[in-house]
Amino acid sequence: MVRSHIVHPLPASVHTLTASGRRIRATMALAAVMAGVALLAGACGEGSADGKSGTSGSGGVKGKTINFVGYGKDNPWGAYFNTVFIGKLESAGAKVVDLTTMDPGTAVTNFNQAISNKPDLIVAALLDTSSMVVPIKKAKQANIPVLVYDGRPDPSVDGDVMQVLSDSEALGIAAAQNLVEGLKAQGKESGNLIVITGTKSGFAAQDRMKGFDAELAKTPGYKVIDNQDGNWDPTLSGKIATQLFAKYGCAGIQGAYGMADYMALPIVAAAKQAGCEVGGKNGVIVTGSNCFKVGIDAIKAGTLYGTATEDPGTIAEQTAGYVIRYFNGENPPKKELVKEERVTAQNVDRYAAQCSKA
Amino acid sequence: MNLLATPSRLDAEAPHQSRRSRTDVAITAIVVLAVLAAIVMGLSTHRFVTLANAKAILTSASLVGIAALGLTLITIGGSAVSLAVSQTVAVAGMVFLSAQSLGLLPAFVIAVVCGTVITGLQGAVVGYAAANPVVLTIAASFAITGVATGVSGGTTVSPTGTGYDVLNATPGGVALSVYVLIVMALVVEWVLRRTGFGRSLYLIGENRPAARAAGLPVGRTTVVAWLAAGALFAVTAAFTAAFNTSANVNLGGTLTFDAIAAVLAGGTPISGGRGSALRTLAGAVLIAAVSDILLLRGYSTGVQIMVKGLIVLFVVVIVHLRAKGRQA
Amino acid sequence: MPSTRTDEPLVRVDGLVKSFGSTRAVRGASFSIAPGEIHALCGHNGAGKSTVVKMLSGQEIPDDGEIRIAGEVRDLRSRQAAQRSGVALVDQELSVVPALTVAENLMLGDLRVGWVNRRRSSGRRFRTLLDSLGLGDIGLDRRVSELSMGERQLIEIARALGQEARLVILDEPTATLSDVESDYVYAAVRNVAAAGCAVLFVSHRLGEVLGLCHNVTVMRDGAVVATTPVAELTIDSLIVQMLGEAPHRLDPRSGDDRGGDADVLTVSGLSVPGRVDAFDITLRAGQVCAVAGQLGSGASDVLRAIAGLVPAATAEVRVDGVAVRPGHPAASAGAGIAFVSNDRKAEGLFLDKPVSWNLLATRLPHVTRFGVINRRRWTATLAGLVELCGLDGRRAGHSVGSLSGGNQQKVFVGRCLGRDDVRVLLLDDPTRGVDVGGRAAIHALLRDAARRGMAVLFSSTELEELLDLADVVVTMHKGVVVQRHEGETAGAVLLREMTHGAATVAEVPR
Repeated sequence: MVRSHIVHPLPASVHTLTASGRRIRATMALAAVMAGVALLAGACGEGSADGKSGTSGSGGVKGKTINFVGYGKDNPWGAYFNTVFIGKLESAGAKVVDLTTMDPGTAVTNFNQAISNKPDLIVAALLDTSSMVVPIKKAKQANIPVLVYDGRPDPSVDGDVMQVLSDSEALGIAAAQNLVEGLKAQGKESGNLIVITGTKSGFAAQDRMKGFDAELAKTPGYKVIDNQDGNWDPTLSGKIATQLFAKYGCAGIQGAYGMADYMALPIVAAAKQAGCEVGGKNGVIVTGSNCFKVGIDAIKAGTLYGTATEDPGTIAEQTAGYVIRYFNGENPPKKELVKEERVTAQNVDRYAAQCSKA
Repeated sequence: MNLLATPSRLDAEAPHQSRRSRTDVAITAIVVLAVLAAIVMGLSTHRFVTLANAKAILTSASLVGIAALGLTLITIGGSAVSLAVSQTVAVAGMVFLSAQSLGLLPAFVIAVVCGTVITGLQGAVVGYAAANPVVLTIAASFAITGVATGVSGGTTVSPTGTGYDVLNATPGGVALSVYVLIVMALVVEWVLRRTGFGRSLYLIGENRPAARAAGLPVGRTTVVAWLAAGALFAVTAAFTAAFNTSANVNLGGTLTFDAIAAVLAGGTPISGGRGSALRTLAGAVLIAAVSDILLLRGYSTGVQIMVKGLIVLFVVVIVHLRAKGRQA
Repeated sequence: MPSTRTDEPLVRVDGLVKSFGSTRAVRGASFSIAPGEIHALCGHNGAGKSTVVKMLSGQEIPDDGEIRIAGEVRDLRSRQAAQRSGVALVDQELSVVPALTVAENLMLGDLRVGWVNRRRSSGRRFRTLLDSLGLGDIGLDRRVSELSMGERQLIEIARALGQEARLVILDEPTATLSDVESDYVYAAVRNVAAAGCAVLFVSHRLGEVLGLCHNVTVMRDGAVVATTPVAELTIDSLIVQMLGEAPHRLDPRSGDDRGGDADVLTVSGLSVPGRVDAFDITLRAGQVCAVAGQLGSGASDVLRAIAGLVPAATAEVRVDGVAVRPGHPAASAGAGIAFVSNDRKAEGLFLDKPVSWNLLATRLPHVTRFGVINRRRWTATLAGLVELCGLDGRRAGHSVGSLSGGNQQKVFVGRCLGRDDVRVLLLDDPTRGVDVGGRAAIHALLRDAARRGMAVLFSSTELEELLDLADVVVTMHKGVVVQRHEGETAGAVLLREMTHGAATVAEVPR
């Protein structure tokens, strides 16, 4: 605990310089200089300086306090992420304060609570990017470093936080590749596609769509004829799919993209109920873009053509690793993307284990 | 959706209420105009009048509709609404999928028992202790989610067998849930009209102190209504879980408010003592049809939700004005 | 007894007339009240007292006649206008707000408290006000909810006085109070009069009228019978004034032995805390029994308690010798006790539902088989009941709310009739708000029910109803039974017992 007292002066000086300099890179450079000063202070205070230097000063992860404002464990993805993430950090000796929630309003409250706790680091997932702008700025004023994972923050505070992000564009690209690959295998050079997205106002859905559209533009034969907001809600997605299959008929839809597996599977169910063939030689090709156990099962059964990873285990490992590297002074890059993998029947066995956690 | 134009009178003995006030005529005219406008909208919408689309409307109405039938019993009995529908459905759905290894029928029975017990307990508190149902069910919804999250560890339940797929069947090209909705609506309607329980429920819903003073079994009737509602929630849960092939604590989604909207859009007043299962069926189909028109015409989800709200508001105002006109 | 009486009246009421539709509620009421005088207004139910009170307090506008206060003719078109003219009304129903403090309650409706309320100056004023009513030990910051009912009544009076009243009207201020609490009110009323106000005291309790007031104006059938100084009155002469000379006799009926000697209803030791003390009654089959008592006498509470509607009640109730679980309406109903509340709308009929549903509401198990309604039985039972109640069969499908008050009451009473399982019929003021024709029809229904072997127990304050209908009358006063009358009894005796209590027991002619 003594160590945390010593670390504090450092970000304070970083902050002062940021305010006057207003340029992040300069700040980073200055931070390195200031780190030396802090190091001296640390050496005086504790009498044992470790050789590594970095933005976080010294001492490794052991004994550090991390306030964790992540997704609540009532969300399956969040539940598994939290288990892996907290487990890994605690076994490395850090103290993790669990402030997780699935409610955007509570998340703001919890984040503010975290700031007043004065931890060594706040790790946060952003349920609502815009409502988190002010808390992030407050944390910056209080010189508490913030690490955002999964979804990117609002552009106005992009420079104020460290980030370990799911590569949403890659997920969209993978989904487009799945559809194109599946349709080509059926011998169709052209076709009509429908898309049921996650909450459209969120960056996750926007970025996936960006990647999806860009990838699809390479094969002009396939075009999106309908794009609806499924709000990350399986039941709503099923309803929309039912109506879209009624609107266009089986012959009018060759492929479908449900942004999450739990949205793609209701599309499969809706297609079947509408009497449309799914998968196989001539049926509708359906893809998801982040994997869950049910999706893996469906890929094995042949109803879902493919998906992409974005599994909570991988990103939790990487986020926890980032935290450890940060405290070890390894100076990890300000922004890291998690490598996402495309999953189809060919390689499903390789990803079955990591995708079956949520 | 033109079901709304001819609201079914409950009391078979009173087909002709002779005195018609001017407001009554005006209200009827407004309703007829609204229905005509909706029909014209529908007819002029590309691909609205097709068999496939009719099936799609019924399919999307079916899941909300079955739960709304349960809610109708609660509302008619004077207990306003349950705000724990989504949570009950989520739990029953999770139970249904995780019990799949026992076979479809046992899993279904277990899910129904689960939904019935959860909802029946709330009904007992409302019926015997006269608790405020809104407050109680808000509390219950948190408790249910909390327990479910704790037990499941927050993970998604995947089916432990494949029997559930039977519920996704489409006999005669129409989803099984549609048949269940129609059969359930007829059963509930029959129970309401033709049984002593149904009569008591209407009477208790209209005037609880009077029912108590008349020696009607207020507590027992309320509990039975909630038990039946719980069973219907569980049926919705089984179909929803089978359709999504997975279930977690968020399975219910916006079902609570969708079901309330269907009950209200059918013209059942929230104050109790009136309403019918067929009205709720009509309400569910009305909302599904209007959402469908908007979807086909390319309006966004936001507009669809807004219009749903406007429909509910419109019907609630009309029902209120009619009730006032009758008293005057 | 008198304090500062002068010959010049402070309030003068001259020839007041008020009609409601074809009913002349008040036809020519005149009396005057001097400053410092406590003036009683008496009369039996329907005599027109409450209409006079309403006209004086601005709630009704007279058709004719005038009201003078301090010599000036006043136009009292609203309660505010009456308040400005110096008329303060202390209502039967308490209007103090329990959640507020004494001072805050006194401020409500106080004309002198402006938009900005000055706590300190009004506090001093309120203090003197309370002291003058003998409430010196009650702090202004006490919450009214902590006070007893009597003290609340006094706060109500204090509030009326705080309005700089010249005429204070008290409408049955002691009806629901205990003796001790009533004494506080009397003392306060004397203080008010001593301060030079005119007091109009409306009461059913003749004892307090004679003990407290200076003059008594008696009304009968909408007209003033006489205004007499109390010194010249006794309870009996007062009752004669109220009832007129026509003798009222309890109709001796041969029917007492009709249903045999079997006791149907036995109630012993019925108590409701603060309302009824140790009430006993035994009813045989075929007997019609009345519990006679004014508001607050406990008559209504007795019936509600037997019906299981008073959770706080303790009693041993037996129907045909079988004990009934107290406090559970459904248990009472199951034991064969049917209850007709005095509040038809809130606790009686289902106004929105058809007549048929209402008539059959209490006998659903009899028209269903395995829970399913048997149409034949439904129709047959309905037809029988409609016939029995003398209703129009074609209107069976109409909502009860569309019927007249009398017909609604027929439906209400009728749904308890024609059933073998109902042994005891309880009716709380069965003809309240029912016109003469409807009343006769309901009386006929009740007699018929008794003839078929039911035990009928009803509460009423109407002498005519008590005398016409009941075989046995039990009078109640302040929660205790005064006397049980069987056979020939004068209406005057009943009225005296209802209004004055047990003090006259010795005089009962038997």
